[in-house]
Amino acid sequence: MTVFRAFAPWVISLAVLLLLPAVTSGSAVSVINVIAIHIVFALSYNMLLGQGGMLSFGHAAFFGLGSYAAIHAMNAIGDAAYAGTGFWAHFPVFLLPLVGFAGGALVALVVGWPFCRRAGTAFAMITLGLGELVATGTQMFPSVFGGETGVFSNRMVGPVWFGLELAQPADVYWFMAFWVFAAVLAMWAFTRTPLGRLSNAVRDNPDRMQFIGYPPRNVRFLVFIASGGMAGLAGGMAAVNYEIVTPESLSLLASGLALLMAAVGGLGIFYGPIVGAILVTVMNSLLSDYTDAAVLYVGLVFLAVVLFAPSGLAGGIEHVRQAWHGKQVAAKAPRWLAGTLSVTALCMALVLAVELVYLLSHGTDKLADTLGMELDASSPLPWAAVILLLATGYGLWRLTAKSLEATS
Amino acid sequence: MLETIVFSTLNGVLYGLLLFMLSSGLTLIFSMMGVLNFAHASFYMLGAYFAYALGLHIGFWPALFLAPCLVAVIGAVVERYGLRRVHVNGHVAELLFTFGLAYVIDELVHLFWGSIPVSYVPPDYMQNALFTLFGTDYSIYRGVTMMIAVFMFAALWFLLKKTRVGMMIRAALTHGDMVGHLGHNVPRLFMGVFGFGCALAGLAGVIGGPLLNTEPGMAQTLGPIVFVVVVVGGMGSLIGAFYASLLIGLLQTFFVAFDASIADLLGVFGVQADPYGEVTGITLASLAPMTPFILLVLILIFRPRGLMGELEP
Amino acid sequence: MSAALSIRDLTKNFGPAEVIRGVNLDVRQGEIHAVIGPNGAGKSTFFNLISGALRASGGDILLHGERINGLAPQDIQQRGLARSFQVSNVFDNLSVFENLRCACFKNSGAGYVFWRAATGMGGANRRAEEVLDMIGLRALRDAPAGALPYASQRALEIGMTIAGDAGVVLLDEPTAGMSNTETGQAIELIRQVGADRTLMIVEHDMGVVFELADRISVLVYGEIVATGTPEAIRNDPRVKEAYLGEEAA
Repeated sequence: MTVFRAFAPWVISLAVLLLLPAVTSGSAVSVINVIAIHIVFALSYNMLLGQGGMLSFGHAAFFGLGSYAAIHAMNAIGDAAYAGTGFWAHFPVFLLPLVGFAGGALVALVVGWPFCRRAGTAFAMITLGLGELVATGTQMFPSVFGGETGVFSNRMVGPVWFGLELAQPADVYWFMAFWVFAAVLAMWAFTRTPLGRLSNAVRDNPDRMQFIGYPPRNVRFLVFIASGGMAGLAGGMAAVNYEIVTPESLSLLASGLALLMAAVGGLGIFYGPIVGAILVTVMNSLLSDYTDAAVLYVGLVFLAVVLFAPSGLAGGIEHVRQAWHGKQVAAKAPRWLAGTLSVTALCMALVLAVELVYLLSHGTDKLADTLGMELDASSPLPWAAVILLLATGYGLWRLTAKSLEATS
Repeated sequence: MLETIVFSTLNGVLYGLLLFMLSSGLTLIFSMMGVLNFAHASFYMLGAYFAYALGLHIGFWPALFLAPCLVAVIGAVVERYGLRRVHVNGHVAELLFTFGLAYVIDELVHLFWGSIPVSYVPPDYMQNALFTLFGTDYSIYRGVTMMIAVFMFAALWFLLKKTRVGMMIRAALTHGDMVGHLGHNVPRLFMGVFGFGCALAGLAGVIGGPLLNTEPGMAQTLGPIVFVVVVVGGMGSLIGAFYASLLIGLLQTFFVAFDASIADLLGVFGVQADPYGEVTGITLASLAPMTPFILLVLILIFRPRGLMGELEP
Repeated sequence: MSAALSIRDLTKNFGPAEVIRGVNLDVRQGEIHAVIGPNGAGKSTFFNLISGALRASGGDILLHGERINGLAPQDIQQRGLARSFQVSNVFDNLSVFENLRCACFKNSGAGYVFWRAATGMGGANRRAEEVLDMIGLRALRDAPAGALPYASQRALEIGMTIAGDAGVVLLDEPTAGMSNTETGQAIELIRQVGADRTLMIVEHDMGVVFELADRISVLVYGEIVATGTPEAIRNDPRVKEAYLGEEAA
């Protein structure tokens, strides 16, 4: 029975991956492909932070460099396929994520040793420096990085594997499905190994590590390489998906995105970054169609998670799951309902306020137009609605908090 | 040549002093509370934008005084309701919070003022020449900025070394709990210091905005450089931040001014190299944006406590 | 009887402050050796010097005749000397069993393996289960170490110290903060641990010291003023003076 329970998430995930194209529309496939890339990217980031206790602000350097390695390899495949000879003529585009992995891992190997002396603020600062160094350095080598416009390629070259010519996003989906499953499996397996356990230990108590025979620096260094490799793998996936790599993929913004996705999803739970990647990617891509303040909303969600729900979405899911197993759902449901209503009211108030401000400063508001609402930001009515919603939300919040105190 | 050197020095010192204004607040906050305020450059940006917006209604000089105060209030609120909450979850949580804060402030500025730079300029009379050297004017405004920065450093030094509050701050630096037991209100002290640090950043924005362009990306460009200054100077050392600011300010300005390439350097040794080649064509000017980060990585590898620091971060 | 651990003229200065001022001590193979002394005598510094956490200013530390001063803590641990901590120093988010297993990895040859599951590391798993039973925490096997009651944490602390097959074990105030019952259980555990190992214990609880120790050394202001059997130490005038002051002597 426990064996079944252990395998169940993997079987379900596999089923979801296989059935997804059947239940989603064509236009959603592009977003799904991006989600796959982000899942691997966010999980690789959590190898460092959630599992190893190392906060990095330069993770995109490995993603981007892996991406560039893959796209140059793609061009090499194209050239070699044309000539018909050489190593690259026999290398399938399908395996390019491995090139990305090699690129990311190599960079981490070369630069990582001095970085891993200390975790905490020092590590965060030095990775920030590395990230910015790489990002600003790209302008100096246009033949490698392609300047501002980047390097582009064509993925429909070379040996074809599994009958995937990779012409349409629908084809690319199967490529993505394979690699996201393989990468998640690999990273999960890593957590079960001695090195994976030791990385958790070094996060919890680096000082004790030496006294059980392991200099913390060694453990951190190895995890750094593994994490950089996986980020590079995600970069390789991106190279195949977009057929272009620009210096944007190395930027501080991209590094911040990894942090965002992992933290929103939940740092302390393995599948947290998966949930976070899905949510943030969907928010980023869908919201911008409906409102101009999409990026702000994502940032506010992140801030809310850090302040009020530090264990992230996955923490919430685990909470519910444990209540289910402990048969406490009926007891906790009313409180959850109140809490959800409170959050909904507060969100609505916030969204309304933000859109009103946008209306005031820009004259038009995308969200209002989409919803077909006539909003007049200068009249007191919508602002009164904001205050009312805020009050309701806050009131429900206090109610939930009080009932929580009463029962615990 | 002399002209370039003189003006590069003047501009480099000015830029360095601006960096110091920013990094002093950050150093103070870090020393006191152990938290690296990722959003520090965002408060700098708020200072510039507030001064611009206020200046439209109440004039340049009143805005110059009022804007930093506004930023201080926002900083205090952030500390009281945000930072204090996450403090219990450790340093990583604090960094995450300030990171998210920076993100949100950036987007809010976008929301209120749009994506294009705003025209935040000093009054006309300030743009006249303070003095003219080699045919180029050096504006009064630049001179005023330098004076304000130097005055600020002196005031800060005086505050920390000669006043009671400064003594409490220095004590709370290393023995926060003890200071609390002695009857001082440490949380209130923290809130005050955080607000004060943000006010310094705001002041830097108020003054630097006209010099370096007031636009929504200003926090993202200057933010990482300020961190470099703090780390290179030695985290927790005000004097270190001062030296590091000047060092980085001068280096970057000089690199941009002296457009020598690697080929030129090789030429000095008699080696012929292609001045337009990809590697040999790399000029000091193109290296300029990278300089702070090269310095950061080098310092963290060879001298992690920075130029003047006592504690390793 | 050979000395498992030999300390020769050990000194440690922090700037102008001399904390350890010439300690000479032999810990015999297989004995339980207690180190007592007034607060501020330098006992924690002493342990830090032996275990490699601090570098000595002068003198030698010999483990089975080999010099270990100047080696890194992990090398000293690999040579068979382990230490526990006065404030429990465990991996809070890992379970009790995982804590013990991590402490077993290096000695069981698991190294930095990332291609096999941790559950497949037979040697480490077996040893961890053994230690788990020895310290009496089987019922708390899967509980997170950070959530343990105090006495259980101290037991885990000892467990992690002995998990790595060290022959010489330093215990830093193992019964600090325990109630009488808990102390009794701790004494039994320490006696078991000491049965086939050499132990050096820093303790404040005289009851524990006189119950367990084969020999006692008294550390006062960075120097050993007396070493001997419990009886000899009990009657030593220098010890009485150090603890009680001149009036009582």
